[in-house]
Amino acid sequence: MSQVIMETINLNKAFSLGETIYAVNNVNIQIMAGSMNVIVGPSGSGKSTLLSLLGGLDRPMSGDILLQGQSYRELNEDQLALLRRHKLGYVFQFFNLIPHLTALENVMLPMQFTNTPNKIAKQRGLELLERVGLEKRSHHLPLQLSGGEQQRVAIARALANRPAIILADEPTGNLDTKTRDGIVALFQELNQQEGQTFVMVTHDPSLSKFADQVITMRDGVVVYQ
Amino acid sequence: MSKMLRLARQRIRTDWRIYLAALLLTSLTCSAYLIYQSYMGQVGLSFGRKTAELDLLADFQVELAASDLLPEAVQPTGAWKNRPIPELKATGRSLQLASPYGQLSVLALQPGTSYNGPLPLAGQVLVNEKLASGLGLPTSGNLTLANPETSAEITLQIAGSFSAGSTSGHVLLLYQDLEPLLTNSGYNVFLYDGADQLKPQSALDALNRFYPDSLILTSQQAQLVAQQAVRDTYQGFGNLVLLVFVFLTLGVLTALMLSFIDSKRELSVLKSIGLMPRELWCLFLFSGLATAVGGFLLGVGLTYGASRVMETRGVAISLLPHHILSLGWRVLLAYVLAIAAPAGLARRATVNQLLYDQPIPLFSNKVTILRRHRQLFEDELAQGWQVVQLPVIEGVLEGFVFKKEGDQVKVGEVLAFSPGWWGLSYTEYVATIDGEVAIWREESGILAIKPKADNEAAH
Ligand SMILES: Nc1ncnc2c1ncn2[C@@H]1O[C@H](COP(=O)(O)OP(=O)(O)OP(=O)(O)O)[C@@H](O)[C@H]1O
Ligand SMILES: [Mg+2]
Repeated sequence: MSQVIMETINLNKAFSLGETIYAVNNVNIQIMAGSMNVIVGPSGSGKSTLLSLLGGLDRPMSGDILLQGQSYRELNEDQLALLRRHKLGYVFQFFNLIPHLTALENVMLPMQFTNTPNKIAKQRGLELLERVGLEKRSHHLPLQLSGGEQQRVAIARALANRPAIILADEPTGNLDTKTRDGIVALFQELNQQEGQTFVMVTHDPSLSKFADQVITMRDGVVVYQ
Repeated sequence: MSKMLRLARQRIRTDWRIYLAALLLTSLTCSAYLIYQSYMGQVGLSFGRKTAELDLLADFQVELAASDLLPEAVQPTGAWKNRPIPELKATGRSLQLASPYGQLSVLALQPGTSYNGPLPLAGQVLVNEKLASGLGLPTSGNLTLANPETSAEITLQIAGSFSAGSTSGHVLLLYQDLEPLLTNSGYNVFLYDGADQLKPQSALDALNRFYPDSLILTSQQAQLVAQQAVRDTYQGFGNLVLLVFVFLTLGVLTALMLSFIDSKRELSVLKSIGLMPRELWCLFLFSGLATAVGGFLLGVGLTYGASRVMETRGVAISLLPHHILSLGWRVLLAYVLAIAAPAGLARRATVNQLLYDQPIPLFSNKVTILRRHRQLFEDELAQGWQVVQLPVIEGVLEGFVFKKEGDQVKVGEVLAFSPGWWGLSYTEYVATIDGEVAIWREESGILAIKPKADNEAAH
């Protein structure tokens, strides 16, 4: 049977904007290896906040996250960076590619961090670009690519170091329907054919449709799991 | 390592204007420092400290009695520098005057002083043979001499020539004839017979005989006086010059902070895919040091160029290795200090803080005990409770509590969190015992944990 790959323990993050907002309030969730997980909920319910905590992009105020049994709280900044490098792939809503690097270089970057020999990194980079249907655009700069294409490059980059889990915050939120369908199909394929674990924030029902787990949030609290 | 170099290069390329500004600032600072050091070196000082003996041009310095006092200082001529220790034979004055035959070196002697050759009479001038043949001077007729500064003129009769081996190249006349051309009077030339090989003391004695009312210093004493004067003038200034390195640090700091702010998004992306804080340091260090080295080399180069140009104008700028070295480590120090701020910020920041321009906390602390009003919880504390207090300012709780009354807590759990001023710091309130939240008062910020009863813990 599949096992828990990631879980949170009483995870908390609050903000104070005049009034206190508990954006992530005592959240306990479990993610199974190889599963497709979707976080849904109204705007401002804490989905992005939760996802960035899962990705180690932000530190929780209290509580902990375990990835393959490893506690985030026990890691120092260097170790947390290594965890992101080796085990996590993060896809942002606004792609966040490095503007002065080509598509291929962007995809190769995480592999350079793991000291993958350049030749192998290049080969895998090209494979990944082919996987996301961009083999012909490998030498284009992000600005020369459309939004959907940039997002595909970002997905290829997230896949580069074969992460244990891919986290994506509204990866299709900024794309038109047709492009979106392509990306959704790509995620589905990666999940079903390669057993890639996904945790995805989305408003997109087409993504929730094939999710193994839908985590619904309201006011920082998981109301349905 | 090489990937950090590549990223650093990329960083510089993206923000090249900022790095260029830092580089130029560095090179100008370097240049100013080297020129200043060279100048101070020439007067035997470095930041007010004496580093060398002054190479004064006169063997003696004579301070005339009040009656003979000069309105202005007289320049030493340098003509008799490095001579064997003299016996004083004559005093007079040498200076450069204009003549129809070009500029002439003039030696004006006091009447009655001895000179190894014939002395001119009043109104007469004697011409050095070599000079005469070299310039085509006649050995009879009149010679008009003019002071180029005052345009005053005198006309003297050329009475003949003399041959002089060592002191060649001048015309000889009497001091009194020269006086109409002088803006000040005084004597700065002491002729002596090298053959006599007398000790400085006897030369000094001779001077004392000649100027009984004057203060006469040996060149060593004169050096001390001169250096003291320079030191008094420049000591404070010398330390002020070190301020340029403070400015350099601030300038480079500003530049690197600008570049950091400009690159926050990119840094956040790099961090999100696993760039380590340690590597981030390298990134900043490399891009900073590249600028430092570039600016340093350019500065030294500029100074070298300036020294070559100034040399043709008779101004010496000396580039000494130990000055360049001391400059090098100062520039390095300035950069390391300047790099520390943005690199430290970038290092500490989480991806979200960089990506969404959130404040980056610089300090954090953990609170586990009650500091004030302990007497109010005397009993509870005695029974092993843990009590902490969150800040409450004007009735408003400054922080977040993640537990409510009745919740179980475990050692090491963060119970509450309070952000500090401007997000620059934060405080975590951490449980030191296993137990249950027994008290939470929002109005006073008091949070108390009752330890787990032993029999309960046994289960
Ligand atoms: N940096 C921040 N500073 C202050 N408040 C914040 C910050 N980030 C998030 N919040 C607040 O936390 C709450 C949750 O925000 P979050 O972005 O996680 O919501 P979300 O579910 O992703 O919403 P959306 O669907 O609109 O993206 C919101 O009320 C938001 O205002
Ligand atoms: Mg969101």
